[in-house]
Amino acid sequence: MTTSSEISELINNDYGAGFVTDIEEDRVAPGLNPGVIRLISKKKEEPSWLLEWRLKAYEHWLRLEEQDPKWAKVHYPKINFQDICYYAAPKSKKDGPKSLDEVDPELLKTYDKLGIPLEERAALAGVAVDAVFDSVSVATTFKDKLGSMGIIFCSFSEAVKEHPELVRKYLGSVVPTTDNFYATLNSAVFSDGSFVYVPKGVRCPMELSTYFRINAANTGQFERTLVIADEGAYVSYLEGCTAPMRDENQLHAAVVELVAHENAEIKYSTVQNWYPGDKDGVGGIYNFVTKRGKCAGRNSKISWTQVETGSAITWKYPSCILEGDNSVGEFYSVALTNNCQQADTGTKMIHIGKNTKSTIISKGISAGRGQNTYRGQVKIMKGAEGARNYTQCDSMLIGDKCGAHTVPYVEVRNGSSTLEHEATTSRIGDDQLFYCRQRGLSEEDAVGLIVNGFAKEVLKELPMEFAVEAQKLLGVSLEGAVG
Amino acid sequence: MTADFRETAMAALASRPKADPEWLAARRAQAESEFQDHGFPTAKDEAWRFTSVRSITRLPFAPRSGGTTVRGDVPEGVSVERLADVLEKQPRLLEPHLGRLSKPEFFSALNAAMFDDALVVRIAKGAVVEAPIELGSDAGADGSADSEPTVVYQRLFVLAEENSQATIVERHEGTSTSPHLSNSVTEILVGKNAKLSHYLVHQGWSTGHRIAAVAVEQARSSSYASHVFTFGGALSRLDMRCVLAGEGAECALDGLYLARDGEHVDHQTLVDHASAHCSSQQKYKGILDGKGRGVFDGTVVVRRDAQKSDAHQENRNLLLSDTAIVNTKPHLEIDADDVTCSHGATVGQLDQNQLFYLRARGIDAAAAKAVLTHAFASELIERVKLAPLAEELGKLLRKSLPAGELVEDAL
Repeated sequence: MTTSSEISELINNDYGAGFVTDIEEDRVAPGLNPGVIRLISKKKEEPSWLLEWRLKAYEHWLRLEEQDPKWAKVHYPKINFQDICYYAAPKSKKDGPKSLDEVDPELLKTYDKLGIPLEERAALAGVAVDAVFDSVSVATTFKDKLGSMGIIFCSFSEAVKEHPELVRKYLGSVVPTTDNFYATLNSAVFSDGSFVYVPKGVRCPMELSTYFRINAANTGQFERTLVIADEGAYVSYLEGCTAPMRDENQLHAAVVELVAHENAEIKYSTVQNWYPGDKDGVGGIYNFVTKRGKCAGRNSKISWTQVETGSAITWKYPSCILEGDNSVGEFYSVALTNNCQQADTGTKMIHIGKNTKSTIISKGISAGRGQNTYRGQVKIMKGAEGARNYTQCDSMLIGDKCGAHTVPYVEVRNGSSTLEHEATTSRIGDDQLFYCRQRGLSEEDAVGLIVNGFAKEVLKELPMEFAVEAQKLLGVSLEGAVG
Repeated sequence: MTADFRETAMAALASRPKADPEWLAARRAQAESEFQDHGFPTAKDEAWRFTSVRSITRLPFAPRSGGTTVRGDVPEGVSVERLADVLEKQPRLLEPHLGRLSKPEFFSALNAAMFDDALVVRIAKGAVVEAPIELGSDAGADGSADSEPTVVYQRLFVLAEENSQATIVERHEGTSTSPHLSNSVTEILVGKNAKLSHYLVHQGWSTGHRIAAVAVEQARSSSYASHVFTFGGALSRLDMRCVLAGEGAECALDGLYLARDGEHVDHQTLVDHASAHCSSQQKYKGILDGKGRGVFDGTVVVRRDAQKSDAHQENRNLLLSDTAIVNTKPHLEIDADDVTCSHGATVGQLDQNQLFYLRARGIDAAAAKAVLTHAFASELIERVKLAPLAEELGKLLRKSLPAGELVEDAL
């Protein structure tokens, strides 16, 4: 076995995606007040109802005292919300790029480094990319093809302009502005995000994908994403993130809302690889996200899959409200913490309709001094006859300074429901490592192999395009973190 | 408006006679200020999230005597004394332990400040005691629903010295029909290589409130086995806290709880693996009927450097009605890597296939249901090593289960 010095050396591998692109920026001075909100709204040429909506959220936010959830097992210095810049847009031609040729070449280079399939690569990969560079969407591909089927896939600001009735109907319907501190903040200052609407009976022919990238220093990013699948529709949405290396903590407080109508299905996959801070925990992204889906109609289904390897702090609970009878909620998660990373993540399954089903598979991997918490809630309401839940949370520990915690809440108010919860915690198997080493695999490859096997149940849920990246990410993030 | 419990408790605290040794008086004062600062728990206190104590705090409980007493003979090698007598003979004997193991918090703080007549059980070094040490309390059968509400503060201290082996059986009956509360704190110190089995039986509490805390600390290579049986309760709460302080210690915590219509039973366990090479097993099962409510909150903590820890926890709940409510929260906090920890929790109904099997053999629905429910619970009774107690518990179980008499017939 390796000695501890070798281990720490191996754990300490650089963050590959750490670089800063120099682009002129159009940004608002730091600080938060009604003026800033009006300015954001004006810059984005929003209708007055949306401005009202933002201001109402802001007023509520002012009344909220606690900025951090006390129950979460994460620690960080208090954030000064007046130091944050709430809007930054890359300076480009006023009327926006008409084609890829018009897009700032610096931007394209950035995407290139990240390996995003834009231009012809997009066509090859079969992925429609709506790349969010800081706060404003700069390029959208495949729009025509999707448009011909009636699918709307555009930036949030565009949706506000072109489909205000849809935005107005669904915005805040799953995550109300008063939901929690960060969701309220997001409601007041959200910059941009993605909007997807799949009309009745349409099956979206390709995976929709958005790459986020936090670029400007000191810019909190407040995305707002809304995905709606109308009756009988199907859509698979991919979200992936990388961020450049930075010393100051950056706040990221996104809100994602999903609505699935009768017989509709939404699959939402995330690979999150934001900068986790250096080996002493300096820098890194604070990822405080509110994600929630509502299975509004009968037989609808929402499936969350996430691979969380980045961020200094991850605080995220993608949830499902199973309102329609026979609706299904799924949550598949791999969360990895190394060095000083902290992750408090899990899900909420709220069973309201009859015969609703939910499955939770969570795999936590802790290495270095990482702290990994699964926190979940399964709630069976009175009317949820015949509800069914299966939960499995496994944790793997690599090294003696990390922690793995499991905090599931099971609340049952209906006697005809059946719930199972299982959790195990153990360290990476010496026997397995020995077996692999004996057959000539390097220690790093062996760990990668074992961890990938451990997480396989979740990784197989990822769409093809993501699965490869996710496997690589797990391997890279854990190189040599074994003792 | 009439007084509530907080008022009567404060008045009782003020008028309590003070004749303790200095160290004990200091501990009482600390507990008292803790209670003055925090009072009673609310839903905002995580450990009391699912249990409202409103039904207790709104009543003006007045203290009465009625602590735990010995039943039958005290076996050889064991001494059972009143705290006052121990303090008189050896004033500093209990100083390092009494009040240290149980954290004064809400009800246990009030107990620490108020308890009057504690019982001290000592099992001598090396003594291997076959016969069980029988203890118990009884709320009395007198009183009516409109009598004055009374509270009793029970305190028990158990010291199992090195290499000793013993069994303690505690029976707490709450059959009084007048509103009453039992606030009980038990502290147990299990010495090196000592083995202690501890049975705790609660019955007849359908109109009584009981808030109990058991705090155990185990030295090297000691073993502690707890068997808790809670047959209902208007509000019954047990905090079971076990610290595996010495290397190689092991504990096994079993529990069976029943909540019928209108009852609320809450069991919380905490196993703290503070040393390496310790193991813990937990098995708690609940049966909920009518509008009964059950709460289970089990925590396993493995501290840094508590390597080679082995912890398993299981909680199963059986719902017999559509209106029963269960909240379960199995919880792991692991800070060491070379460990094997697992927990499982289930909530469900009787197996339809098993019911069908029995029905197909001519057993009617009610009896089939009763037999299967009984089987679910009897697993924990089978783990009772004292045959007469197992038999007694079996009878109690059948008496408490809906349609239990049908099982009696079948047997």
